[in-house]
Amino acid sequence: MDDLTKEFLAESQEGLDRMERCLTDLELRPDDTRLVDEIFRAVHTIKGTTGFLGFARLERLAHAGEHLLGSLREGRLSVTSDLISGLLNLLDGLRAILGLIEQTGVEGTRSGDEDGELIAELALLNGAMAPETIGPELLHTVVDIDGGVHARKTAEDSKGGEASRVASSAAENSVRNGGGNDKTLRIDVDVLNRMMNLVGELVLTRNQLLQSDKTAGNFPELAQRLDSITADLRETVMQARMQPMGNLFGRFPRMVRDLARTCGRNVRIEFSGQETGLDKSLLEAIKDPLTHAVRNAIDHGIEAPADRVLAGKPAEGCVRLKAFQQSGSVVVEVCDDGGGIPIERVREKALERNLVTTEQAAGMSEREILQLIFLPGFSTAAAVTTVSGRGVGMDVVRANVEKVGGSVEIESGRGEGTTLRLRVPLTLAIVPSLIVRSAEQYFALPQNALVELVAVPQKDFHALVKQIGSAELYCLRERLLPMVRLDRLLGLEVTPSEASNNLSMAVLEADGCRYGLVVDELMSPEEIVVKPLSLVLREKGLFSGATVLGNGTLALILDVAAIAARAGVRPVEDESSKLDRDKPAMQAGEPFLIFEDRLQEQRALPLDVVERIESVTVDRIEYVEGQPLLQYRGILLPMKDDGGVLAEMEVSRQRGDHPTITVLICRKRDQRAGIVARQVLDVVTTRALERNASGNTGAEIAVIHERLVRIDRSFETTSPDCVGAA
Amino acid sequence: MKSRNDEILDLIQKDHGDLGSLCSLYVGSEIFGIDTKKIREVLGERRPQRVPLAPAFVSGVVPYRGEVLAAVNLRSLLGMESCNQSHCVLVMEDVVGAERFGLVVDGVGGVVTVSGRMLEPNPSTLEARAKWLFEGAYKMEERLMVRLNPQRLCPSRLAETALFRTSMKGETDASLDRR
Repeated sequence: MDDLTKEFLAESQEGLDRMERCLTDLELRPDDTRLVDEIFRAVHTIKGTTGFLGFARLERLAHAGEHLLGSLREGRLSVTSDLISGLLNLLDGLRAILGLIEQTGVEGTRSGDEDGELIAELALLNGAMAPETIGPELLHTVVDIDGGVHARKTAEDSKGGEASRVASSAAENSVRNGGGNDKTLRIDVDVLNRMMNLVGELVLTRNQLLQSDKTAGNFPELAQRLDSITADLRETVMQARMQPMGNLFGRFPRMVRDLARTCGRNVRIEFSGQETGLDKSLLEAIKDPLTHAVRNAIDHGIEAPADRVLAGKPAEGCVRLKAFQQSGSVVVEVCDDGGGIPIERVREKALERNLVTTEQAAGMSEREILQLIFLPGFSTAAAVTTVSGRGVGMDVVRANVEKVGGSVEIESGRGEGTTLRLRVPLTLAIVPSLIVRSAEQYFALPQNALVELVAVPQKDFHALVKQIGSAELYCLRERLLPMVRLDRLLGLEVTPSEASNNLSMAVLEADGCRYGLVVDELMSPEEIVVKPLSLVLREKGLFSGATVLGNGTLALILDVAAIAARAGVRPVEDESSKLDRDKPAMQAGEPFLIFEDRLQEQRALPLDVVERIESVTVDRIEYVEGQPLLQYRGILLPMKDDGGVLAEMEVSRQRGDHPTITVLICRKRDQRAGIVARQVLDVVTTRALERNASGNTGAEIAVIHERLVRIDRSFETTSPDCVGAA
Repeated sequence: MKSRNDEILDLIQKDHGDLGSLCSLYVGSEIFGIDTKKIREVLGERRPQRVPLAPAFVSGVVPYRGEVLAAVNLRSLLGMESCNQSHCVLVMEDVVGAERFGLVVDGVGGVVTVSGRMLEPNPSTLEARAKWLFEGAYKMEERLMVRLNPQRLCPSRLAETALFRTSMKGETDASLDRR
């Protein structure tokens, strides 16, 4: 295939992608002439170039489409659902031919490949709808076209059927492959230029390095420069690989439209965060899981329009796709406002399929039951439809996302809808991790699985490490944590001198399994470049890759979940022991900032209301009618001082000191206020224990680090359950 | 993929009595040969990093130009005791549909020119493993040089055949805590 054809294919695919988006938009805004122009342009460009390249079949189809679009543009036709469907069929037809050209180099001229039926359909749309809008002087020509079409249609009926089948299967294919765009990438020329500059600089530095020997005075300087160029280059390449989420979202409006029609639903799709960047390879990796999730949301989530009206909801359901960055990872949410996941049905189904035992199910919380839908072979759809419900579903979604180092969460409220949250790392290639050493070998632990590090001094060993049979358990804050000795698990030879040393343990969590991995030494955190391992070494599944460390040695990257599975660590939910009582509280809940205001009394503020923590000297606090105020960045902050800290500090100020106080700047909608804290203690994720009925008006209390903490919700605008959704 | 040039070269070589060049390798007291075209680079003395619980024929991984390659140990493939002497690592040329990998031998000799007439097929009495790996032997002046089939040394191919699944030592599965 020559370059010209390749370029034409890429360009046309892009044009068609745009056309697809415009078509779905057009259905919502039929009066937008710009959309019609855009669609017209895409088809027109294809037609123009194909004639030049000699693809007659493509040209004929594009011509028919252009003709119809021309009528639409001149206002002779009005936008109807049938028209949109016809144009989408045209789009599929064009895509199919483009796909054929891409695969075989020719467009296929066999009689079976003719697009007679499609062209006829387009002409029919052009003609059949025309009489409503055009004047009588044009009518006879239209009728003429119409008649001719019918005659041809009967003649081509037999082969037409086959053609449409071929076209539809090919279209399916091309949709699945993302229209062949996977192999090419658009990059800003600026980025490319910067890359080239950096490579040039790299070459120059290398030349200097080769000429100077190690003893030369400028060696450290050269090394430094090499380091900074490498960092810059890495960042630029990463930037080039970043793709906006919008590229992925673009395929959904069409899919939603088609699905909604097949399932008899009325669905609207909304997007936010299209500009969020994600590594190209990751974007590809979450494409299928996301498609699956959207499909699920429409087929299982959104109810039929009649049911929705009965439930007091608008007939039109809504699927929201939301992407945003959150601390080093990208979160993609698929929310629907459908019926939610029926917890009871999930429980029944899980029992029916023997995924859990009756006793297990009885002891499970709603949240835990919800997690069951991720088990292989689970499907709650009452009927198996063409769209979904074959029992392959959420487990595949989770497996795919976890393959790239991400995670999946699900939330659902009965009658309120379901939110599926995919969390993927920003980039695959570079992973922050902790290097550990065990039996003279280095291993890398991904930071995202790391909960905490524990050092056990030799003298405390017997007090903290309990043994049941051959299993060792570690007492970590009143909980027994299973210990896994890496050297034993991997069958490494242990030198006895090292075994007697202090114990180093990394507490890891994956797939709901929490365990302590005992190693010889915890080394430094390092950003590692992940290299794939040979298949035969991956088979065991314990290592997810390898990396070259700063000191030149190789380290294997441990798969935290696989280690747990091999060591036999079960997810905490499965254990019926009371020891894990506080586990859900540790995991679920919301983050709180813990601080002390009154002496010996701790208070918790939801973390998202705290904007900043400032340290200010006491003399900056001014008083108006006894109300303490702080001038802060051009606004006046009223101060809340429940603990009487200001008065205490005022006393010491008058003695001549310059004491500072800690002020938590909190926000409630547009209002800000300061809270004077004695000291800030911690950030903890927890949930309120109980409404304290005996005390004053239902204060919320939580137990954090074995101490009672009062939760202060005076700054929250919404109830805690809605914080995530807002 | 064979380029046109290579094909012509092959034809010329056929005329001249099937000449070919092999790289000679030493393992224990034996000499082996691999087609030089199938060798990408001789890395020299390297000690591969061990990988726990790996199949016995993989002696570990070696870094090579930004990649991490599995290194197949010819010694253990031939059922010899592993020795602590120096190891020499070769990187094999890519084969379509297979991964790049390294080969660990005791030492690398040099390039030997051989002709097809010197090649004897594998004796029928050869044991199954050797039969699978060997492509016959060249009658050299003093001794035989065994020709290895480079494609079959690929770790994924080795893993596919049942021949090498049971290692000499037996896989050490140390997960004692497991019930």
